[in-house]
Amino acid sequence: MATWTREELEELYPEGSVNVQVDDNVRPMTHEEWDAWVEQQVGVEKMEEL
Amino acid sequence: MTSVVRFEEWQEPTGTTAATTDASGNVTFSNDVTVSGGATVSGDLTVTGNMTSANQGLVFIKSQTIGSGVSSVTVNDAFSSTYENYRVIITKAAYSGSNTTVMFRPSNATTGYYGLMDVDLYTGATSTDYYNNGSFIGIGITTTVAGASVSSTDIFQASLPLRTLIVGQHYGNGYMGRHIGNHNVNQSHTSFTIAPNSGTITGGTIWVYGYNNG
Repeated sequence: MATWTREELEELYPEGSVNVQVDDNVRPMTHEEWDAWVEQQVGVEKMEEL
Repeated sequence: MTSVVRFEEWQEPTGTTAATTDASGNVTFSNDVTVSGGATVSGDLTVTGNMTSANQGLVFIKSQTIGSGVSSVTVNDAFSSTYENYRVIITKAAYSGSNTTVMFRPSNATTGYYGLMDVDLYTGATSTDYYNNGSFIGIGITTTVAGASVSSTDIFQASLPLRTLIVGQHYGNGYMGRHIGNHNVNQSHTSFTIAPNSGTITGGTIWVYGYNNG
C-alpha cells in the first residue's frame, strides 16, 4: 500500500495553506507547526477512494 | 394561537417584571422562571433562553463551526464539573481526503490511548479493524463530500480525574462502524481536539451535549 511522501504532502499542503483552530480562532500554522505536521504524515498509508 | 399556561407553582426573581399576557392569551415571562411543581401548556411553548429540568437527558452545551482548511479543531469549555458524561457529534464536515481516520484527543493529549475502530464497506466487501495503542482514539472516517460523514461519540468520565472512556458509531464515504476506546490516564478534562489523521477539514459542526447527572 502506498504511503505519503514529504514531497507529495508539500505539494498538496504548501506552507501557509494549513490552519489551526481553537474555538472560533482560526490561524495559519507557523513554519514550525507546518513542518512538524507534514513530517508527522510522512509514511501514513494512502487510503483508496471508493 | 391562544396558549394556556398553568403552573402549580412558579416564581420569578424578586424585584423583576411579572408575567404578561397579550390579547391572544400568550404569556411572556421576561426573566428566569423556576417551576418547582408541575406545569401544563396546552398551546406552543417557546423558550428563547436555555431550559433545563431535573429529569431531562441530554443538555446542549455548545456547538463549534469548523473553519476552512484546518488541520485540527480544539473545543474548549466542553467538559465541566456539571456533567460526568457527554456526547460529541460531528456533522457536515468536508475533508481534504477520503478514508482517513478522524482522531479524538481529550485535552489534546498525545499518549495513553487504547482503542478499536472498525469499518465495514457498505457492500460487505471490506471489513477492517484498526487497533490503536498510540496517540489518539479514532472516531470516524473522512470523506471529501460535505455532509456525507457523521460521528457520534459518547464520552464517559471526561470531567472526572479518571480514565476517559468512549463508545460511538460513525459513517463516512460508504464505510460504517463502531469506535471504542480508553484514554488510559486518570485525568479530568475541559477540552478536546479533533483532527484527521492526514490532511485538513473544511466546514461542518461539532456538537457537544452533556448527560444530565439527574
